[in-house]
Amino acid sequence: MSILRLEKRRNYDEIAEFGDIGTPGSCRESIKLLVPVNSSKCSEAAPKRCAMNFFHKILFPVDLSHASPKIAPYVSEVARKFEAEIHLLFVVRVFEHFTSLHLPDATIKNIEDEVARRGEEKLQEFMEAFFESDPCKVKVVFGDPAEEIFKYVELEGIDLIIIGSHGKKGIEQVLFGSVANRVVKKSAVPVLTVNPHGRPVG
Amino acid sequence: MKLHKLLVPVDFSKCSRAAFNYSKLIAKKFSANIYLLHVVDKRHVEKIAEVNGESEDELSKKLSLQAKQNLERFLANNGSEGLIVEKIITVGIPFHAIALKAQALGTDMIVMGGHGRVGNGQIDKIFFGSAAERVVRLLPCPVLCVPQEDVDTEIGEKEKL
Repeated sequence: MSILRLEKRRNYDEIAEFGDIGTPGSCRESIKLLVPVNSSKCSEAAPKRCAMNFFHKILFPVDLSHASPKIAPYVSEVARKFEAEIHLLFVVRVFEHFTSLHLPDATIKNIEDEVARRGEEKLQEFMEAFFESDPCKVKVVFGDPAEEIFKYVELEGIDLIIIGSHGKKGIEQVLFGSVANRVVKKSAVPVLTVNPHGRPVG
Repeated sequence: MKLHKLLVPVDFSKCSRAAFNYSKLIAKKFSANIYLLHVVDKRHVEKIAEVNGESEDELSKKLSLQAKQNLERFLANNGSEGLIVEKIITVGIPFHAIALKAQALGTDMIVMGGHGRVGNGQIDKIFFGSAAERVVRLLPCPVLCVPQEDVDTEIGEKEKL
């Protein structure tokens, strides 16, 4: 836990000293210089810390609703500016909570598999439509959206999440998405919430 | 994507410092300008006025002046790097004032500190858990929420602006 915490810590002042923060490459080089200076404190965490200051890996969790395409231009723009890699994540909600209905296991599994299969197809289409020229990875996972987003962030070393503030559910133009809400509240990395019903991009 | 105006509401806390530092990075990247905003909470003014009998106007003025000094100190400690075009101090209810200012300025992005695993941050206080949160959520511009830094750096640095 403590190592994790150190990795997550950001330190701007030190990086500012090195002036050029332009490319990921130059940033990594400057950190090599930093390590000896900073050896008293968590030197092994330093490269990670630097990486956390600038956005190298951007996670864009998509629900494949009509809101997702509206947020895509923002993601693409930010990614290009920071020369970052885009990760698209689609979370298949699991149907565990339907167990009280005594559905046979096989049925639930079938539905989940079907959703995952279709999700994967859709996600691929989505990527081709919006991020064709960007470095981009796609992933479909099972579980609770917010939890899976955090797991993915941890696993892949994501340093920025861009998420639609209003998703599928409810009176969507008015209420903040429940997933976005939870992500913003608990995330260890910065979260950019974009209102899909806001001003058009461009 | 148009990104010329960043609105950064600061409450001089540790988390607003994190947000401010991120906003500087973004401003440099997008050659954007930063508008710093501090909102003197009207509800506090009212309460203080009630207790010590000063007029609300007087008190607002006094607190705004104090906030101005704090803002200068905040900038001196964190470095403005020539990115700040305006320092705004208003009296109002934070979420409301932020929303109004964002609209008036035509802000392209709001950068705020808050949350993280440490506890309550700016966003927590301003955005969530209030009946008026919907107003802020209706804001058309993107909001970048920067998590608070960690516990160990928090301790002992709380008072440092």
